[in-house]
Amino acid sequence: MKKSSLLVALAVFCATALVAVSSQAQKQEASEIQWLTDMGTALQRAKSENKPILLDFFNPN
Amino acid sequence: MDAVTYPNKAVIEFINSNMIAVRVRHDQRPLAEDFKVKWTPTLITLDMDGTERHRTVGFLPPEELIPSLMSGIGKAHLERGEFAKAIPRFEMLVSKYPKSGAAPEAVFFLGVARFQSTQDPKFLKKAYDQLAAQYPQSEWTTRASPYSTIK
Repeated sequence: MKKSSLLVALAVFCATALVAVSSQAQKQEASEIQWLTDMGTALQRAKSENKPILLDFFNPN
Repeated sequence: MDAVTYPNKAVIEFINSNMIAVRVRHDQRPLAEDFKVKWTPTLITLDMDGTERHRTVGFLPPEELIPSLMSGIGKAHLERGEFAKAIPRFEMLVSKYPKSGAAPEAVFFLGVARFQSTQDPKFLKKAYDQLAAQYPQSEWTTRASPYSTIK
């Protein structure tokens, strides 16, 4: 009995930790613009997600 | 752009949820030549087929970049005949960013989109009236001036 409640507690702990990690990952995702570097990939995603493309030509220097 | 505009939370949220963002060096071939890029930053909005619909050159602060991109998205839909998608973009731009540089053009194209979707010319007259009242100095008011006589 004790062992099974320990297991349940462990499972709950793991699930909570997973949720915490994934929500942190989502927050990180939103902390910067998700730039692609390849135009071919961008065109595929634009078509499949039905979104326009922002193409930024920049000077790294 | 990297110091001020791109780290801005509203900019990040707008771009990530409304557009597919691509960033390439100004000298990347053949793309930079295909798009005839002469200066940076050059920001281009392309529609889902890769056709250019809007372009700006030079720095834009967050409160100018977001409406400029809204205008690009609106024009991408308008030029594809997707009026129901274009109209809310221009409406939001005009109501949320009335003081932005992109606003007068959006009033103009909102009139065009409403006219094209209904064939009712009163929307062109309305666009002119709004431009003349709110943006008398804008080139878009001049461009809309032929609509002033519509009854």
